[in-house]
Amino acid sequence: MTALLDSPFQITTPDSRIRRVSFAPTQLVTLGLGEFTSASTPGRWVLPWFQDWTQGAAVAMAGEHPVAELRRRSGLTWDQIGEILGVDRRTLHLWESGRPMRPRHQERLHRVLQVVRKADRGQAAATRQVLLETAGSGMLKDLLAQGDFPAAMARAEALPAPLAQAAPLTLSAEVRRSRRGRPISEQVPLVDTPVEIPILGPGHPAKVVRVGHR
Amino acid sequence: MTDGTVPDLNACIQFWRQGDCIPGTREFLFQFDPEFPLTQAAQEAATAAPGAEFASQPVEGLMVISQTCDIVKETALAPFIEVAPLVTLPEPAFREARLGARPRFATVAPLQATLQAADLDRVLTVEKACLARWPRIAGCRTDTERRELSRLLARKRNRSALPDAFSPWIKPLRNRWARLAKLESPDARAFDDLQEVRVQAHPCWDAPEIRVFLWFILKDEAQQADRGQVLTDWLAKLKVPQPPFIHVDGTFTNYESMRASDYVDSDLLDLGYLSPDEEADD
Repeated sequence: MTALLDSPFQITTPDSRIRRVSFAPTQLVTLGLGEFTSASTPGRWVLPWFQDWTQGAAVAMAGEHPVAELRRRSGLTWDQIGEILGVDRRTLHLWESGRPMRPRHQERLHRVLQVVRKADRGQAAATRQVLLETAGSGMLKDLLAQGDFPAAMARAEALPAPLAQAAPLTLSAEVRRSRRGRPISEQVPLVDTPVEIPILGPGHPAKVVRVGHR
Repeated sequence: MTDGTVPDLNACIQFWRQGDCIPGTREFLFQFDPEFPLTQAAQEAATAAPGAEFASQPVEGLMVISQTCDIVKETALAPFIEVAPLVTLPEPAFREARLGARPRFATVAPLQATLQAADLDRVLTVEKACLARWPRIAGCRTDTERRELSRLLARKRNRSALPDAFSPWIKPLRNRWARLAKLESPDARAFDDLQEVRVQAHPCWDAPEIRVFLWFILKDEAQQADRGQVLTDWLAKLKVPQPPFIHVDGTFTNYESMRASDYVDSDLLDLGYLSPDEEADD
């Protein structure tokens, strides 16, 4: 597992061994599946976004939640993703809002993501079509929902390679900030009280010359 | 220009941009009904020349508000541009205008020292040849300034796309947010971390029964945190079913995670159009 981290973290691996890792800001580290405890942030939380680089899959965007990544890549609806993961849509919303996931859910999501990354056609609509296409053993989506990950991965691996995608460009941080606009906490209600505007001089009739149709 | 030669107008206008200002006293022309002159300037014009329909009034200067692509278009194809008069505002009103709280006015950086802004309630159409003779003060120097002006101009013309029933419905949540200022709580931290809120309707805002989805989009620099309880609390503020809204849901997300289709299919929740109730129940 690889994570993009910006402060020292304490890592709890599935076998409950706790390790403390320090590294430079935004350093990429490769770790086993586990939970993270931030040393700089109070409270324990699971670092939910991780990426299995060893699978050779496309790079996950920094700050992207795995549920969001699943939606972005698969083009599936909340309900369809909920069906695959065995939870309702509200639970998905809570996860994406930072609610920690149980390890079994985390692992299931990780495995589903591996298959979806492999099946990724580069465009959500095309990937969704692949996931919903009925083949010999049913829909790929249904295989995922049934937890038959070996069969699902075999199906994904049998797909032809997708067309190469151009890497998106990134704006500078400063320009990016300016394009975001004013954050909601800084927005102010509209003011409609009258404003006194100084008048420079009197109005006078303007000379008008009429042209065209009368 | 003053020696009687014919200027190359298309070359002259290539330097002009949206937001550029014309300093000095200029005349602002407008039409009025001689039987019902509404403004002091119209009354003065009507008194001076009974039956007159057009009045002219001196103003402090002008701002070009046409889009740059229209300004620089060949005069044969697009001979007109729009200008708005510059006015000096009291300092508080100027500050509010700069924040977008007064959509009537738009300002640019070079006008800050003099507290001037363009009065967008009044727009005059002029032929582009005028630009060739007028002095020019560059209004926007950077992409950021151009975007800010663009936002201010858009605010004058754009109105919330949300239905009338939406504003009272969302008000309990708006009131909740209004009380969070300077508090130290997960609620307040989550609000501070918000960059924007977008609302999505299913099937559409015109439907008799609407399911609403709220996208609470976090700032890029927002720390990872469990905002599940905050989400639950905020959504609980919104009563459903309350026709036409039959269901509400939402999630915290960020720009990296949100699908472009979801962004485009949703509408900005503009707090400017939602003022908190003084006696709101919360």
